[in-house]
Amino acid sequence: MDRIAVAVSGGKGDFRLDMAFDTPANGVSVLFGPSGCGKTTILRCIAGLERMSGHVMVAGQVWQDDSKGVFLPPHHRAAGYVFQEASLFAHLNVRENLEFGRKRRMAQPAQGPSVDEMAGLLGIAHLCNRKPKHLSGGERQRVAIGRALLSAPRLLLMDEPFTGLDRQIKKETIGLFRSAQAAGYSGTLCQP
Amino acid sequence: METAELASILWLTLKLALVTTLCLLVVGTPIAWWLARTRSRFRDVVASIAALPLILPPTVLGFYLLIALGPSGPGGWLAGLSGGRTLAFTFEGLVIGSVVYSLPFVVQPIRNAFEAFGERPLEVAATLGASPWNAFFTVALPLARPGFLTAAILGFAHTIGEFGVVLMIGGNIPGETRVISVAIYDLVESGDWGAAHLLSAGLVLFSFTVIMVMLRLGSARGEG
Repeated sequence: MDRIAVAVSGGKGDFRLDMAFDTPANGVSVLFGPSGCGKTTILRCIAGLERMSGHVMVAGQVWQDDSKGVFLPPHHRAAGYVFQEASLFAHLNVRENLEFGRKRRMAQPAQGPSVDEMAGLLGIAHLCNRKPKHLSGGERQRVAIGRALLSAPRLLLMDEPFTGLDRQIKKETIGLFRSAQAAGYSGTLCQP
Repeated sequence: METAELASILWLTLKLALVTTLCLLVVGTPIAWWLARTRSRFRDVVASIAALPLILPPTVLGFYLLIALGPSGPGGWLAGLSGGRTLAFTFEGLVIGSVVYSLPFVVQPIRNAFEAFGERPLEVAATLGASPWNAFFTVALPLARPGFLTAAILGFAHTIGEFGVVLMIGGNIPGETRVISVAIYDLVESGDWGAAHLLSAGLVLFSFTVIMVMLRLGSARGEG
């Protein structure tokens, strides 16, 4: 039951992708491979941002199954996504960014940490009223991670989340994933 | 010219520009959204049609509008619904004509604003559980706000300044289609240069203010 089973194949121009894997839905799984081999595309297919043929099943839920004609749109998948660049909403401050996912989450709103708890956990509580453009790169990335976690994803997808973060913050962030998993809602799939 | 007449002209012009601007935003936003997002091969065709009023002489536009709004066009049918015979030479007809005439000035800034922030914020919103409609209203519209501001100002100002189209499809009916630009032409024709001066100077001042405000908004955005 608690597995992530993915098989996607397809292509864009010269690029061909054909891969399948099966991995536990709890804990951290990491995709390795040379750049340009399709790691990001796989993450995007799992989130539903891109479509290739195949299937995506996460913890007993079918997100995509071409044999049955199932393809859930991204907003119906409990997948958090941390993009390579933090991609915060420029028109919202830090608190509003954090609230965005929490308000729309599919799990019960009462579960999991509040916005304030998450901000405290990530060390960004003092930044709550700032707009993203007044944050450093590392601060932005932490807000993006917190925002994704607050949407209570069953699966957290991270695309090179540590690019531009220093060692200390990397260590703290990894610790954060552990506590997010202890809180019970997140498996993590990332490319390093 | 009497004060009451002047007030009527000013009020009509203002009313036309306000109603037109509202209609322009409602009509222009979906067009701009589609143009910014689609990969259809008809995109450039639609974009060209939407931009036509930029280069067509107002007389050409006015001529076709006159036919479309007249008794045997769709405008005549529309007027028939409320017991009229034609939309030409009416305020409603003038609004329709003004919307067509100023469309490029509204579509372009909004499309640019939509294109400027790209696909990413919408993808983020989707992964956070926002439906496409919800993402449009809570992410796309607020992010495109500067573009909407520019579009509204340009659409409003351009409607105040139109002349040819009004003359072709609106004529010069007091209280119905007699707006500032047409009134000035009329005043000059009838030799009332004093009143023509007054209205003309007013428009110069208005246009200058609009451009100043736009420049200020632009530089405030650059610094902010």
